[in-house]
Amino acid sequence: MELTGSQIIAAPRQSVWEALNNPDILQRCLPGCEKVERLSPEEFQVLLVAAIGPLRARFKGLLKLSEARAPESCVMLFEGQGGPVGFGKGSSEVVLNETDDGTELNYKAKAQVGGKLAQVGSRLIDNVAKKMSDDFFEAFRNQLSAGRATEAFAVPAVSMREEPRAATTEIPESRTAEPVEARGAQPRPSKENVRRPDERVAGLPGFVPVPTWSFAALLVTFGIVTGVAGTLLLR
Amino acid sequence: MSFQEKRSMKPAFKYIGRHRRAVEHRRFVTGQGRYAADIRLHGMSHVAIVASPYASARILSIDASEALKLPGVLAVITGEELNAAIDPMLPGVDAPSVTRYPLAHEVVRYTGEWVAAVVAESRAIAEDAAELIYVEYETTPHVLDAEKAMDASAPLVHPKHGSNIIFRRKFTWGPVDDHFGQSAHTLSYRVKWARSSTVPIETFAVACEWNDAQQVLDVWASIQMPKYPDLLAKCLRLPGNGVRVHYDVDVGGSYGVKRGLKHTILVGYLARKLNRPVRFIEDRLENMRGGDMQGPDRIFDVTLAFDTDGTINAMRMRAVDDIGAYSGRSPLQLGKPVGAIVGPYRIKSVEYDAVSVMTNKTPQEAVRGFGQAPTNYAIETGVDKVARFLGMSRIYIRNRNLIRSDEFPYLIPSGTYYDSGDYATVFRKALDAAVYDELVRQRDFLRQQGQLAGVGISTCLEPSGGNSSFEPLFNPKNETTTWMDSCLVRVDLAGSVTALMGTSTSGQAHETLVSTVVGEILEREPDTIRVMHADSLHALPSNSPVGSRMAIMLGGAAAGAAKKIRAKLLAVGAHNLGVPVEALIYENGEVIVKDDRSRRIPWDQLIEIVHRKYHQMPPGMEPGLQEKFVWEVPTGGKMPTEDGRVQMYPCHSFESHVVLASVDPGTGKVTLHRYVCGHDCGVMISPDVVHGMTYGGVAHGLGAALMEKFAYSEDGQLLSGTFMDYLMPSAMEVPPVTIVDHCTPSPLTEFGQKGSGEAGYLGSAAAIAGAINDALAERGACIDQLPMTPFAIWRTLQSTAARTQSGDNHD
Repeated sequence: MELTGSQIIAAPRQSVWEALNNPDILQRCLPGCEKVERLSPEEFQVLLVAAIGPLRARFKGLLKLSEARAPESCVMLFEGQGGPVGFGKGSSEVVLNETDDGTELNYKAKAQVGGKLAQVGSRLIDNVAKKMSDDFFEAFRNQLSAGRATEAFAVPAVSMREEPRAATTEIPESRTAEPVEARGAQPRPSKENVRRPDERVAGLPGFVPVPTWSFAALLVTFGIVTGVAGTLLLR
Repeated sequence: MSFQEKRSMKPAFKYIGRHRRAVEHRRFVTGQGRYAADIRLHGMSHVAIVASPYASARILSIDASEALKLPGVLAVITGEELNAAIDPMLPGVDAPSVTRYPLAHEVVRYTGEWVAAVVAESRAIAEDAAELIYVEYETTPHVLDAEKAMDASAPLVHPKHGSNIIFRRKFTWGPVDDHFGQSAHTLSYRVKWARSSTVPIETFAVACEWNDAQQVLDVWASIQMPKYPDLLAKCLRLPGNGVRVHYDVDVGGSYGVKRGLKHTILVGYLARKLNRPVRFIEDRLENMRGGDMQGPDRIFDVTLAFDTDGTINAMRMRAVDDIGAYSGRSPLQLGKPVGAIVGPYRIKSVEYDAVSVMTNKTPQEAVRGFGQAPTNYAIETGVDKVARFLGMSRIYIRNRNLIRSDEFPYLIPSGTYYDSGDYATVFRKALDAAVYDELVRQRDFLRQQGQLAGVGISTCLEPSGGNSSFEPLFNPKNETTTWMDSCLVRVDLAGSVTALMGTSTSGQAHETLVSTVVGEILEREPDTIRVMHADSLHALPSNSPVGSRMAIMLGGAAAGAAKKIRAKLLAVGAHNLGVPVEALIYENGEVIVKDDRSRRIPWDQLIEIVHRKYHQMPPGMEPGLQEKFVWEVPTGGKMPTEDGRVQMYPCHSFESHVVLASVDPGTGKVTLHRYVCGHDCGVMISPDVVHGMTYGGVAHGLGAALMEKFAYSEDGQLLSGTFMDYLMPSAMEVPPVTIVDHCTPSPLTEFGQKGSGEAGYLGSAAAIAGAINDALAERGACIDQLPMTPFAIWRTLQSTAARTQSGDNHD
């Protein structure tokens, strides 16, 4: 399957690139993410919890970077094992373009899921993926927009014991296609978000070649099965 | 049905063929059925499965340490331990390296294959623990397309076997080349029957308890499988009498798929290892991905040779069946159709290339009809195509080719005699009941309303009285020709009759069958006769209810045992009345002197003599009243010939379906407006049961035709593994079905009965598909694969329209 998308982020391209390279920021933006650990400059281990309908599992994933051209584009390869619920794996090609309003982020992901995720999740995963994407970008925007680049907003992790919606329902809905002008130069008030102003990311690190690992993780673990529906139609 | 027909069909029986409430209904309606899941054993533990998420992979490591730490977890078992302690399950054909174990070891071959099992104090704990087991895989190339799998370059599902083709044999019966040369026309086509199944409400369930003092494994399972106790004992390396299968549990639906041998081996092993009872019940996800219950998945390439007058002379058929990653009896599902390879038609010669192919999908198992329904669909599609090609009516073509009622017993080219039938009459009765001309008027009216509408017709066979003939035919090392069934009948001191059968029942109403038959022979009220399911150590050999055989085989065995009881009572009567047996008649349980009806011994006295008055018994006669009868399947007991001819099943039921369907051209949605099934299964022992089977069979075929498919992604993921995606017919889709009975008794059976367990299913998919193609023909479109889902129909209409348009442009 293939999933494509485009985001306008009100921040300079270099900032976006660096933020995408910052595991701490991404870990905070990605719902359910528990841990990111660098194994080598190109490899990261990711631990995240996902709930799709009746399935809930902790994914252990490996993220690899290739074809990085800072600050423009890269390709990420992801493979995550969710134990008995199955696996997700795939690749994501990300391109950042400078625009008048900031940065346009385009992604094209290819992925597959397997096991129960494919058996059960195909009906649910579209909406889950959409919701997770929205949540992620909302949080990511808030991180990056208008001088708040260093202020961290976190989306709480989905706990294994907690309904995932409790963590995400309060985040305002944002349409990814919505033009950035609608938001103005100022970030939207993030009152619904769980704000932790005291928690600051300790300075953006230098170039770390992990852009978009979050996309891969996000897409692979939640979203990538949208194509399953298409395959189903081919029956 | 006219009065004359009714009268001609009136049975000369006291109980057989009469309306009678099924014995089983009482407990089902009052909620007192007792299923495998109702078995409560002291200290019972529960199993959850860890399954492969990959279609093909090497298992690098299995880490169960976290799972084992969870309180309540008793054990985690993997293939490494289990497979060393048991013998493998072997395929039904000669392919000894295609072994199968309950748990995978080193490699996995399909998504859903069991990799590890957790036993815990509760199912919930077991499932939680299963989620803590991490298995590391390295994926390997897979193959999912049966035709690609036949290619030499394809990844091998079982490398040791050396090929993905597990069985292939090309049969040539008769001068096929000559008949093709002499025929005016030939027509080739390809049809595909999708992988569907029966998907019963009850998934597979099994509970096992090891009795260490007795050294016996007690088994309660929702099983429907021949030789199950024997195979189980063998795989567990126990003596045959070390396994006791309790057949007295109700089975909540099967029609072939309840073949939980691997489940039982696993649970049996665990029960013995842990020395405490263990239970495993598939949840629906487990059932659909790893329950080994998916059915035939076939591509037919057929060429028919026929004359301008519509006579079909010869057929070439290649059937490629995708059996999935392992083989049980699935290759044999290409074998049963050998016994009805020409359907009800006088096709003179046949070439049949049967190819059974392994792919990285869930293994296939027996499903209702054992491969006959797909074959019927392939043949019927061809007959419709011949009619369309010649511009003749489908009714005319069928009548031209149907075997005539005066031609029975009729020998078909593949060596099977059809026992009896009156196909043209049943076909006519179905058309009359549908009011065919009116149906055509309604079709045309629907067409005027802007719908696509069509009439579908099928005339199909149901070979019945299942035996083993396909085993030696498909495996030269297998010389099984015995396929018996049995019954034991006992009359106690109080004069009550009890019958004992040695198999489980999955909804076929065997208690009703046996009590009706025994009541008929002994002339006792059937509702007073108790029918019991023995366990496998108490039972006489049974080959279980497969292949529409129980009315014939269990019915025949019950009648045989009852007749021995009756003969004994007559002998006792003769001895006490001082007359020869020939001078006596048996009537309503009494023995009466023919010429002097005042001289008689009533039932109670006869029973008292055999149980209490040895001094009044004929010398040498055993006291008490208990007889068994073991019946070999009629016409069975023969090996196939060198050139692959064999008497497959003994009896041949016939059904003819007529259906009016409409298709919404905008959405592809199908509606069935009128449905008639003409049915002849000889003498019906329990008409209500037969009608129930037929009605359900029609619905089952409707599902196969329009809705059901186990679909796989290119990666080998099961995409229709829930009822959201694997669609089954409900009351919304199944139209009222008119069933028209006809009776051509079988000369081979006790009462003239034939089988009916597959009734309805064997002809409905073909008829419904025919109706849709009749509807699509208006637009020049045609679909030759199942299921004909709204999307498949819509897409065909769109592509046909596009083709027509581009064709116009070229003009």
